[in-house]
Amino acid sequence: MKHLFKSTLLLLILFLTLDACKDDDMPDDPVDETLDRFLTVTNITSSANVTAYIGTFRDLDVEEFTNERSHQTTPYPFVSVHGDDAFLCENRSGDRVLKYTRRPNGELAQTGSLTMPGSSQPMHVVVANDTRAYCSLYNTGSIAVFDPTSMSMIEFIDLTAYAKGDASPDPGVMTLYDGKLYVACSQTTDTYTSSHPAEVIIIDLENGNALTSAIDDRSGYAGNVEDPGSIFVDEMGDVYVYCVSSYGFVPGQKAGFLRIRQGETTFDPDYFFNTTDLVIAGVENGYVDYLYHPQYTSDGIIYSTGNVPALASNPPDYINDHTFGAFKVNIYDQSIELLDIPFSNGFSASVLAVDNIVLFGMSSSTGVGFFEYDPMTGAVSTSPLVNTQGDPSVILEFD
Amino acid sequence: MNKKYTINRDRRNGWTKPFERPKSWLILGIQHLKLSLLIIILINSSLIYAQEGQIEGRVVADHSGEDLSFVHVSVLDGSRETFSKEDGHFILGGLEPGEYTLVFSVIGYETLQRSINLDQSSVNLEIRMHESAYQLQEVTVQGESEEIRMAREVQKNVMPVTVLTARDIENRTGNLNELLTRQAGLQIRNSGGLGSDARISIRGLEGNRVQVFINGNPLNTPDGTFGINDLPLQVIERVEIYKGTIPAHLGGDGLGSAINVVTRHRDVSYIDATISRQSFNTTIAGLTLKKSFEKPGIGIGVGVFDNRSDNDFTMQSPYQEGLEIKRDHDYFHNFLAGASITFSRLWFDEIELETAYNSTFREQQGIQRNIQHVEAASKMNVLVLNLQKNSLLQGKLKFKGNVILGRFNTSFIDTSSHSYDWEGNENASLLGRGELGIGPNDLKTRQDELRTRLNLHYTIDQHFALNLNHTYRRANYDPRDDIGNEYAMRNLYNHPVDLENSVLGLTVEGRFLDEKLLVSTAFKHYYNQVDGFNTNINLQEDAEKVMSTVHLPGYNAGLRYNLTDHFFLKGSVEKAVRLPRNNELFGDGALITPSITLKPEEAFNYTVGAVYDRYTKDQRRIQMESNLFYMKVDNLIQLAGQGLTTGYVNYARARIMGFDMDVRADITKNIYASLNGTIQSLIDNNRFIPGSEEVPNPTYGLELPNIPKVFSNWSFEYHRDDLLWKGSNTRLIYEGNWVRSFNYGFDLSIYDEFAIPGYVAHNVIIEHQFLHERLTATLAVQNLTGANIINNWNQPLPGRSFRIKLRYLLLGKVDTHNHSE
Repeated sequence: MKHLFKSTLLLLILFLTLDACKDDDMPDDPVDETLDRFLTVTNITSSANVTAYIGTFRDLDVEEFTNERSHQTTPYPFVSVHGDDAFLCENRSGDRVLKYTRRPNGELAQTGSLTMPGSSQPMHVVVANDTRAYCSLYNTGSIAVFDPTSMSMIEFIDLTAYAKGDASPDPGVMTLYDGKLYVACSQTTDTYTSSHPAEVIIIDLENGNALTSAIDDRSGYAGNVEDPGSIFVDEMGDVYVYCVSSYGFVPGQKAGFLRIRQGETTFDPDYFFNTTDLVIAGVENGYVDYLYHPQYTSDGIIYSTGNVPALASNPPDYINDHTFGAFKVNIYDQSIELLDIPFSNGFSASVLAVDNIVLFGMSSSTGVGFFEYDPMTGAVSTSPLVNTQGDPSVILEFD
Repeated sequence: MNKKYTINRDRRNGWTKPFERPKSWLILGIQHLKLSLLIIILINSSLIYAQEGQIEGRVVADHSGEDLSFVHVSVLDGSRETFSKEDGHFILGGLEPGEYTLVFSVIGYETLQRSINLDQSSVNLEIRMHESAYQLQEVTVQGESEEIRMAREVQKNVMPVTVLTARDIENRTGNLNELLTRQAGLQIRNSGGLGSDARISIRGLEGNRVQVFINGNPLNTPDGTFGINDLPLQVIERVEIYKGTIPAHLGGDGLGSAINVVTRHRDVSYIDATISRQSFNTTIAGLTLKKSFEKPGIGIGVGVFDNRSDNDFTMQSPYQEGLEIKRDHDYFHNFLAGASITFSRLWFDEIELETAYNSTFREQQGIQRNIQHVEAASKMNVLVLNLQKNSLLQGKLKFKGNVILGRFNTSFIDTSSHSYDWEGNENASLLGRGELGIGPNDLKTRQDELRTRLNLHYTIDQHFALNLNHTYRRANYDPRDDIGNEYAMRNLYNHPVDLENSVLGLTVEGRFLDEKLLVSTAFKHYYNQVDGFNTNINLQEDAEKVMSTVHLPGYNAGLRYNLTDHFFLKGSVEKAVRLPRNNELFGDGALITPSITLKPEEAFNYTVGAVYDRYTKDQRRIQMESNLFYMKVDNLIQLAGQGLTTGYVNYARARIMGFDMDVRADITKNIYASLNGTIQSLIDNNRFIPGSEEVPNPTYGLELPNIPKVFSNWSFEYHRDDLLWKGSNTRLIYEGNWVRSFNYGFDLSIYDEFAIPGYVAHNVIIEHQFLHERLTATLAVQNLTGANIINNWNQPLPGRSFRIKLRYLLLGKVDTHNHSE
């Protein structure tokens, strides 16, 4: 009996000391000095606590993208690239802006971080040059100006005077053009609707950060906070902003594009591309309630995904519903064309125009990854050109 | 035998005594167990067991002639032992002819030795035991020995179960969760200090997947109204922790693991008063009074309990590097009062009418954001009628039943017009009003409930018994939030829900081979109907009324086989079901949309285990238990979404494998030690992403994240009587626990950095009983080294804390009647 007791005790101690350590050894790959061209964020939704991965891949010949060398991060982060650097905002899950730099051998190294004020919710980073970058702080209603090289804070630009109904005008996505920073403000009433007119605050960076504001009640909720591409400048220097108008939750509100002519500080009263009421051929019931991840290319052409409400079950079935389609949008002649790419859930639906093709990051019932559309031929891929490990919410090309 | 020594030994050990009868060893080597086949084989083997010599008899009290249960009967050389049953009867079997010296011992009576000459196949004795001189202690331990006997009865169940007895619990300074988390296979996922959200995790499944019962009644109160951690420790008789299989006589759902808290019903007059002061301005106080009137068989009891804490510990912000935050909005207060009257001399053996009132208030501490005004409160009123009849149909039928009426009122208030930064600066609210969520809330909910439970136990013959258990629950849930609705400009919150469910379980129990083999099989039926509203936010029209109805079968089977007096094997299988909860079916009215087609979660569980438990010749006790388990779970419910809105879906499937082991032993007469450990692995078993039959799941075959995989607990105890002065009893306890670091996400990248850190924590406790055990003083230092303990991502927990507890327990005259669950 003593032997049994001792043996059992020994066994117990043994298995408790078997702390199977994680293999920290790095893969011993030969060094390849070539830098990866693309950056992506994929989100792993296989368990209740979603985590995301930010990583890079060489080119579109990569058939399978895995997260083996990616960095774990908070779910659905917002990312911008500048040179070899990427700046990541942690969405609602953190206060930091993380800086990553692409390295040879497919590595993406974290090279800095900057903690913004508590619960300020950094949303979007625009880099002006190596010493000056701007980060919108959604909750505190300000723009943080920082040095993107040293990741040190310079100053804050206060926008709270423009707040409507609460403490912050909810600055989100931004674009920098001709010495001015155009800040799309969602002016939310709660986190997902706005009862206020669309508003873009214009910061004149070359004149002491003087502030003006463009307001238009034809639409609302300027700029989708998740889409840096929802505010952009075309070849003529006109600034366009896509207004999601409470994502279709509030009856009567119209989503669409508004325009600020070059040099102006007000919206163009003659331009509003109402996407809510546009009947789109081939779309179930004809309508898209909001466009998602739009990316401007040239000549008024945007590639985008968009939510088709008629495809959603009642109540929604988040496993089988794939409501996000791929679209070609012409903001000049105000038309939208449905592309024959498989529909996706809303956790992907990212878009990147690159070379002569357009990539759509979709999570569909036939594949998860980047599908291809060729604007020249109209050809589409029915399966991913690059399969991804997780839902691809971001696809960017390094400068 | 030293009487007090026996007390010390039993107070630590909630484990059962193994069933008697010696038998040769078997090695546990079942790899591909077909349990049903094994059951059949073992049942058949009951037909061929051999007759052996035995000594049997009955133990009675000399002064009253009353039957004495739980008398330890052993051969002097320790080779055979058993305990007397409720009727005082005992059997020592498997004896060769010869002379034996038997030792009879039980707390409260003088130890007795009797020489026996076994020259025929059977000897029948009547043993009369004399009371010990010290009456008060007798009364104390008489009640406790009954509790320990009940605990051992539970432990002998065919299902894998660990039992914590009152002696393990009552004098501790902490709360029940702190004691539970020291058990093999079990973790408590805390999110803060006293009163904070804490999820029980057994075999990696947690939250609603682990059913919690109080006295066999499922604890399904609205969130925050009442949890087992709100139960005062001194009212707990025992805690049964079922791992892998839930007995059908507990009428509830769950994925195979459950905790049943059995409250104490001393049938003596007594006063029990405790007060504890702890770090973070924490006070825990309780007073229980009971008066028993023996002649009319009436007992009247009242209890009042008050727990409160500022929870003002300092934490490092997980969001702001270098920011140290002293929590200043985490006050918790719980008040519980109850009264009962019991009749034990009427047609029913027990009629008990209980009423309880509970109120809870808690502030919401911010971690990412400085929250200063959000608070929640709840009130609960419960009326309970318990009925028990132990002997119907010539003693073959036992009846237990209860009716519970409850009203639960909860409130959640978040209407502040201000928000605050960590420097304390006040600003206008980010949302216009409210500090959390999507706007202001002033939510008040009323829930009325009717519950019934019926349990019939019918003994068919010496081999077979039937148990029928039925629980029924009807509730309506009526939330009101006019401020929230006004802000949202639509009715988001005022949607009532009606709920009706029942769980029916029929168990067949068999006892064979002179009770060496126990088998049990049960069939269950789950019924759940919920009426609510489809508050799909995507719809512009008013919410429509919808209904969800579920009928599902479940089953389990198990066996226990005694290889020797001290060593037995257990095996069990179960198909378990966890029904969707209201919030999962109907969402929150806002961004969590309804999911009225949710399927129940299902689990197929297999457990084999071995238990060794014996006393050595010098009366030291050695106990070992190990379990090997495999579970296959489907339809696990989790939140998913499409970007803007989310809802609950049946998503994950998993395979769970693991092993736990527990060793406890009296190293010497005065030193006791224990060690347990758990290794478990939960693997994503979805080959394809849900909704697809061709898209590979990127995490198939990987460990599910955010679940502790390896953990261990250990303790050493030195105990000695008369250490400081005569009549005193002292225990010095050191306990430690270790959890290995685990990933918050899947293990996909060489750079994975979202890890929940592992830790080693140490506690030191000094417990001193004096005035003949009437007064107990306990001093404790929890987390002695101030280890950084985190159970949940970005949820800092308190560091080192100091505690002192005083307890005064005065027991009156004994009554032999005892309540049992």
